[in-house]
Amino acid sequence: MKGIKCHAEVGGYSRWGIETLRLAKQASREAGVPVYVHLGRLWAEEDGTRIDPDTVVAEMVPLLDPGDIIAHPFTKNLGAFVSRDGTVHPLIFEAIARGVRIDIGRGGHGSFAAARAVLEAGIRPFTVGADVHGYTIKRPLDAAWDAGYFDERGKKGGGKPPWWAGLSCRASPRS
Amino acid sequence: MVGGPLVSSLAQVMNELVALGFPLSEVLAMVTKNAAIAMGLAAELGSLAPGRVADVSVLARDQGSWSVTDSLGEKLGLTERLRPELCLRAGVVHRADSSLLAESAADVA
Repeated sequence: MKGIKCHAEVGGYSRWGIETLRLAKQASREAGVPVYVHLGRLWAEEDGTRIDPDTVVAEMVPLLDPGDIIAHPFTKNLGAFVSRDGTVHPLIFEAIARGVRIDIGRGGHGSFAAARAVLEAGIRPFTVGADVHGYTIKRPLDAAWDAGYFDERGKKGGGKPPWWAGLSCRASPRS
Repeated sequence: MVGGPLVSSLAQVMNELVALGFPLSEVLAMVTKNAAIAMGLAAELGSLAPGRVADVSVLARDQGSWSVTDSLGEKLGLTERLRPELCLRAGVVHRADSSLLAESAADVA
């Protein structure tokens, strides 16, 4: 086991705040491995909530240690490197200065325009995750498969909440 | 043309980075030495030297005219592409014959 994957994006944040990343960091420090943090909207916010995507980045950065990895700098989705105003979120530079590494994690949401904004800000990703997964390849029964996927607004197929939306997230007692 | 929301291979993303202006040497470091450092495995993996693990990927460097496409439909042109040929894993040669790769190899691997 070489690392721990965690999301920091508006959908999860609207339900659990930054607690999921806190728990991931607790585990990563105890195990001595980095966290790999997904950035950029993935899921819709919980009904009745509206999260400023740039807030998620601001709350994430102070939790990270040198050697941790933040992913999807070139995503077209908000809540990652490129802020709502089109410039790189200032705390991304702080994360880099603290020794946090960047993985491209191209996946299904890579944007050359976002890439240019990030590169023109002087940022160089460290590794090239292709992020090939079940939704980035041609597949049989696309429609049925995609019924479990999210659309551009982070809504799952049919507008239903994702299966995990009712789960709770609570920190375990710390010694 | 290959790309959009579909990603079939690491080589496809390496080609995108070249199209964005990354020097090839930087791209190669990002998928080898840097990846090993990020995983805490730099003492064993990520570079070729006596005593290191000799698991190696071999890429062809083709000259021609291709394009890559991002998830928003923007296209960038390429005058050369990287194409997976084979890898060596524990002394055994494995040809790059994945059907996933075949889908995009005719364009940009």
